[in-house]
Amino acid sequence: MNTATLIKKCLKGNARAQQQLYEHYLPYVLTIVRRFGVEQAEQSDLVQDIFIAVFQGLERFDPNKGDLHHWIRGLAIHKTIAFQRKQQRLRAEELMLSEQSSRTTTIDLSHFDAEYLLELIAQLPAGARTVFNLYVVDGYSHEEIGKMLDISPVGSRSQLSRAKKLLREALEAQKIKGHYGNI
Amino acid sequence: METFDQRGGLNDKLGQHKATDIPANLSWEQMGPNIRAGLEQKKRRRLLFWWWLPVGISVMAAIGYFSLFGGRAELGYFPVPGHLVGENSAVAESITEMPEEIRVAKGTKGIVPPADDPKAKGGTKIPVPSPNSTVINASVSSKSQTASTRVNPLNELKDSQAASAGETLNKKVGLDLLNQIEALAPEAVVSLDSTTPYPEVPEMQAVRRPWIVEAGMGFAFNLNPDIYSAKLPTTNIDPMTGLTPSLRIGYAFPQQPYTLWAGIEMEELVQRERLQEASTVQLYQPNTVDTIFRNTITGEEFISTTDSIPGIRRVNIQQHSTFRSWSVPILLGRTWSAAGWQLEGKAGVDLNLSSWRLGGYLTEGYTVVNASTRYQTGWAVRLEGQVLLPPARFGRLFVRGGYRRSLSRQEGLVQGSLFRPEAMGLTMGWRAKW
Repeated sequence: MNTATLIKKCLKGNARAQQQLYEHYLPYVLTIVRRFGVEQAEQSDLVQDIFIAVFQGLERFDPNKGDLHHWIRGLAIHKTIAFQRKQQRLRAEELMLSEQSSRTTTIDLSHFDAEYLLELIAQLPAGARTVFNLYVVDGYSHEEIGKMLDISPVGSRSQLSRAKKLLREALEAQKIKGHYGNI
Repeated sequence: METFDQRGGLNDKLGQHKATDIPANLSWEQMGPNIRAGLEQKKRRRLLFWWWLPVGISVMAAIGYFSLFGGRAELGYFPVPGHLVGENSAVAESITEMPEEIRVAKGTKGIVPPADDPKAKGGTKIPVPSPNSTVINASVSSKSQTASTRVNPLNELKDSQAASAGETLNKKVGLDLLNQIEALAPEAVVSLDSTTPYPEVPEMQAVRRPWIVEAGMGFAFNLNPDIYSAKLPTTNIDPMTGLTPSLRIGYAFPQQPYTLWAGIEMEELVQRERLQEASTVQLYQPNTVDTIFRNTITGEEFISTTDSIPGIRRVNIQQHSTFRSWSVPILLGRTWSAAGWQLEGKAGVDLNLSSWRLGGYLTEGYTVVNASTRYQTGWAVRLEGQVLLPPARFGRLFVRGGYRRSLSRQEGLVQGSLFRPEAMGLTMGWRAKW
């Protein structure tokens, strides 16, 4: 079944089509939810909210503006951030912590396992983790991140520097364990 | 090379990553019913949310209708210096011709002020027509028209209007205005220095927005309660106040102080049925009380046995009944204005779309019987006085007092009884014009 047919059937309320769409995109959505540090006990509630929003918003999906995968990904990111903010995990005072960016050597992460990197990212403080995810993984600009998190672009840059510093330290510490890349 | 130093640097590695360890509680079998139930719930909520849509569409349609068809006459009200539009047939005859004087006037800012005009001496740079100005009358000069057509887009519009030869008065008036605008606008120099006196603008003769909308909320005091709902003679009926929301649209007649009103109004007339009884009773005691009287001189004794004592029994029961009616008032208003304030008197009739009563009455057994009436229609007369505060942004505040008496008798709560609703009320609200 191609995507257009799947969407049409989902919009008509076809349970089998909804299941197909759910099962296809659940692994991606779950990665996003975990990447942003949502606790395991809360993951099912959030996943449910995300897919309700997906099925409800399918009528607004425009294939000319991008593929379904990107649309669901964007929706999942926004829902996850809203969820975290509702749970007060993204506290303003933490997001306001400033960090001076420092010029350091580039780390090549090509050889690192994705699961391992996700684990490292999950250990970051909530504010730094969110900005790092949005900027480095999802490709949002600091202006966009500022709007999403109600902080200034400068604050977003500061959080990113903090995240990178912490990740760099963690990677340095893990070198001896064999997870290192080319530094 | 994948690094975290670039925007989106880990997109390929982590952005497309699929989780492989899906917990059992996230399977479709577990999640599907909840998701589908959530969708249904949201659908219902969405339907409830859209209740206002037909109301909004109706309001927008009304506004659109009035804007399209209600505003046509406004051009005719525009203050044309020197004459009122429609009064002078010469205006209609000269519309296709470029007046020679206008071409001259373009060099003299369109209107030549009289030599003794003090405003002209005061250095006013904005040419504004005033009653003292010499108005340029239209006359023939097709040559100058051709010359100006090449350079001025206003002439193109004028030409297209003339070419269409609609011969309607509105078009003629429009062209006449265009001619005058052309004569005035291009050389207008606006000076905002403090020494420049403000130009005198002629009083608008009828540039008014004839459509008025009023929304209000107030209280109605029940003047004529349904006394027949009191079945017991000891029942008192207390008139009380109820709410009266209203929405009205008015049409102000041009150049006259009269306004025609129509709208929709809900009126609640509340009454309280109250039973208060007090009666003397003998209260019997479970144990007999003996009182012994003894004569201390003779030693005689008298024993009185009492098995009851006197008392007062009070019964206090009350309940409320409401008479509601939806009506369409059709009123004619007369307005008086002074110092920004406005007083308006209105009189007319109400068409009762639907009236009904809810409540109950008291019976001999000191119980309340709940009752309601069927939906009825009828007519009523209405008199109102209204005070409007000086205009503020987007409209003005009003306070309205009114009296309403039903011409039709309405069915009461007790079967076979009829009553005539009558009320006076006070409403506060907001008026806007467009």
